[in-house]
Amino acid sequence: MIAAAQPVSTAIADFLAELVGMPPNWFFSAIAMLLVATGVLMLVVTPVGLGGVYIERKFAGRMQNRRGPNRVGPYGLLQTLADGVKLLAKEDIIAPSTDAPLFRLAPYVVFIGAFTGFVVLPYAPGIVAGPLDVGVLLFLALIAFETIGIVMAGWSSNNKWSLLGGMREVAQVVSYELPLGIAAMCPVIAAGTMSLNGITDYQGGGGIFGWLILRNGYWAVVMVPAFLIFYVSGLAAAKRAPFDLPEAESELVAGFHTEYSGMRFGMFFLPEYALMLSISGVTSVLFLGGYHDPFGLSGPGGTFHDVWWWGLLWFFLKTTFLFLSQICLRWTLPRMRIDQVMYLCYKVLLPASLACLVGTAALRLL
Amino acid sequence: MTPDIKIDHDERAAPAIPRDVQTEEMIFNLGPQHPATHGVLRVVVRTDGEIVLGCQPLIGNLHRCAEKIIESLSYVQGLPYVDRMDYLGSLNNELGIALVVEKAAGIEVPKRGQYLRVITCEINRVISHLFSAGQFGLDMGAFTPFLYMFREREEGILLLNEITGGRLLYHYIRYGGVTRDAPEGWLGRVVKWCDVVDGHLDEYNNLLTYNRIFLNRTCGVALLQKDVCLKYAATGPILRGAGIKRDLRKDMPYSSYEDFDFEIPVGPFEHGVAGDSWNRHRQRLYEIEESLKIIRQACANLPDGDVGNRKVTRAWKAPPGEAYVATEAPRGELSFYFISDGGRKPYRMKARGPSFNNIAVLETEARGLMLADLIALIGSVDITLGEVDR
Amino acid sequence: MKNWFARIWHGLKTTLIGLSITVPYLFRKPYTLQYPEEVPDIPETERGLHNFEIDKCIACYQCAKICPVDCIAIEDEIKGKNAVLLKFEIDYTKCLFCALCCEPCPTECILMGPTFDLVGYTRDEVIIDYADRENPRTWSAGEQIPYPIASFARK
Repeated sequence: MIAAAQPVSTAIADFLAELVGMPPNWFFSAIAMLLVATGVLMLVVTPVGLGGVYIERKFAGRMQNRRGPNRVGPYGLLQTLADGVKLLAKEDIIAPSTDAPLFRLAPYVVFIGAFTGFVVLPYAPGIVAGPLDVGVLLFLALIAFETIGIVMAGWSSNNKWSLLGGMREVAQVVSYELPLGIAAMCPVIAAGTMSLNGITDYQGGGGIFGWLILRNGYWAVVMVPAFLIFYVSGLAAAKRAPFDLPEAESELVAGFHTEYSGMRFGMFFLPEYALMLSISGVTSVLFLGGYHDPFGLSGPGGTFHDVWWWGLLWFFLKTTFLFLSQICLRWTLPRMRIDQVMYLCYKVLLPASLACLVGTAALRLL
Repeated sequence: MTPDIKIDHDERAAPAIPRDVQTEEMIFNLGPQHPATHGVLRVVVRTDGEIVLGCQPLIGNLHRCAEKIIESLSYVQGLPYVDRMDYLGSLNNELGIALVVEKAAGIEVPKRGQYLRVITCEINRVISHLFSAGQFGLDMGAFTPFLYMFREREEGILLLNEITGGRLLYHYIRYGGVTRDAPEGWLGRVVKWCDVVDGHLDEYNNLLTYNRIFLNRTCGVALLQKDVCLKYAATGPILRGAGIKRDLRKDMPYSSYEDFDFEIPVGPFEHGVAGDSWNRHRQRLYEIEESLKIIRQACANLPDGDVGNRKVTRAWKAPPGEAYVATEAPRGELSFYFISDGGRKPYRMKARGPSFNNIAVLETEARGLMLADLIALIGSVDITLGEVDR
Repeated sequence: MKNWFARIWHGLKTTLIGLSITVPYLFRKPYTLQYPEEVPDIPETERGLHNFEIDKCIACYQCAKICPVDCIAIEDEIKGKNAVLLKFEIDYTKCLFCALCCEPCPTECILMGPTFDLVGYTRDEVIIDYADRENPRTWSAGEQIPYPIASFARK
């Protein structure tokens, strides 16, 4: 994607410079990059926002023997768009007792934190925005970054429910960073690299038994538990049920976004789906072979080696499957209590993830 | 914003949970617009972080002077108002007031009328319990079982709609009988519905009741043990879930309940301890099974005859006297005390709603719980604010 | 340690049981009725909005007298068989839908039909005058059955 974006931004910069009649310089390049970045962001946000919310609502409806959205557009496909327009048109209420600057800033912090995660994901051979060497680390950092926004929202709202929601978020997400990070270290140790591209490449070839979760068969001993731990911790980091305590509706009214209205609320609403999708993407890269198919066709020497659409298809399938499983879980399980969430983190997931880490290291030495 | 009421700060209020870190206390206004207060209940909660130190339910937002209105209208006119007390179990309310006036005035109800009362009241109890159990799941964050239960509840409502004409406020039971006989084929549909609900009970239990997270959230949480229940005169599934076998349908049978063969499930059940939220929830689901048994028997043995005698008209005067009748409504013991001075209007009609007594446990029993457990307590006690405030 | 594994296993198992219940619903027919297009199957006994036959009314005021909320307002010129009604107004902001008005009516001219929806932008729009001959209000063409025990409160 970055490869395609560069000539576009250069062309735009040249065009702008010509329009103004000045030689191309850094100023025009900056403007052009901003424009391109906005365009790419819109390309990402629109499908995530419209698709994610629609799928969630449709799934919720059908799982509960209802229909889900079906009025706006064919099969209700435009429902989210209509909701977005409604949110934009609504009054933006900022109560006088709030800490206004923080209150205004918080949604953007959350938004940025959630959407930046897409940068490091390798979607297909050659399609990655930022092929970082420390992709896993950046991703974990971004989850923590999002937390800051939510705490800001909870604190600045000057509302006790929001405050409790913010505090729960800190306790929960910061704790779950540990099992999440440790479980993510298992594939990192196995592949010997922190780059998501590198981990994907490592899993190429050999089909389903090249994927880390089932690598050579015996790796499953450590990788299946590590996958489960990463998945559960990912749910907690994305604040999905049964870990949706920060916004627990029946307890905290709406949690940290109680005081938000209009598009500011939308700015909290969309990142949830972005985070779900990016966590699903990272899970599929770390454990399920990323863009490699289960038949070994995309491995070195395979029929579809380095074919971008084949990789994109499989990455999309895996991510969607994980995304849908998160939705199914949400509409099946009750909510946990904050001390039980902590118990699960520190007494179940953390020891188990450490055991997985040790096991991976041992298998690596073999 | 400071709340306009005082919460007692005595030492008795200190929770059992050790407080190694002292933080500033907060006052929360749980309600009246809170999603988990089932109406317009306002609970002022004093907390230390998430731990409740004290709590005071503030009621009266829905006060409509129901008793006084009934006393100021003639007998026939007062009946529709009783529906609006416990709006989830309105037929049971009607049964209570009908029985008390019939007892005072010595009106006999034909057997068929009594059986129809039992069938409709038990359907009402089932749909009320389905609603309560689903609502409790909703409070615990499980949305889906709530809608599954609503599906069966809707079918029950349609059955009641067919015989009574109303969907929620039925106005079916009158002094001296019921308004109309069962339509053709109705009894068969009722029995079919019983089978449907029976078949879905396992679904609810597997999805919600025996879920590990739900068990963790409710077992041993929000304990209301025998002594507490007795102290506050809490009745209904709360009392039976705490292990006391008291059901007025068995203990003081009324309206032909002595004809039917049914059990009274009493906690504790498979998990938890007697009197915790889980047992109250399980109690309701077991009671649905027993109610379905009663409905099946009543449908099978429905005697022929008239459905009511039509003595009470607008100008009817009750003979002077007084009566007290207690009945088992879905939420507990609903009783009416009635005095007649011989006029066209009741001289006094005092209602004792179960929700009003049940909600009183909040003030002392919420201490030391976490905020999420307080929601579990309110949800599992299952109050109807229409009845609390009347 | 054994307990630790047992609890994890129990949690996983009950989650899978729950999923095995909810996920199949994805492929089942929804229960919901598409309300404005699909009209619910309303039994003929439904106590909905009133159907008033002005020609039958004898202006005996029985319905207005028994109404618990006094929502029926009647004005007449002549009483009896050839009654001339000036006003027969039901205030649906007050109405309880208890059907007590249908029971004492000697000519069965006021009945409750299956129509249940009445909306308006102001309160005045739901105060309906059934005696207004220029703007007659009838709710449904469906079958109307007399309230079966129309004599319940009359005797």
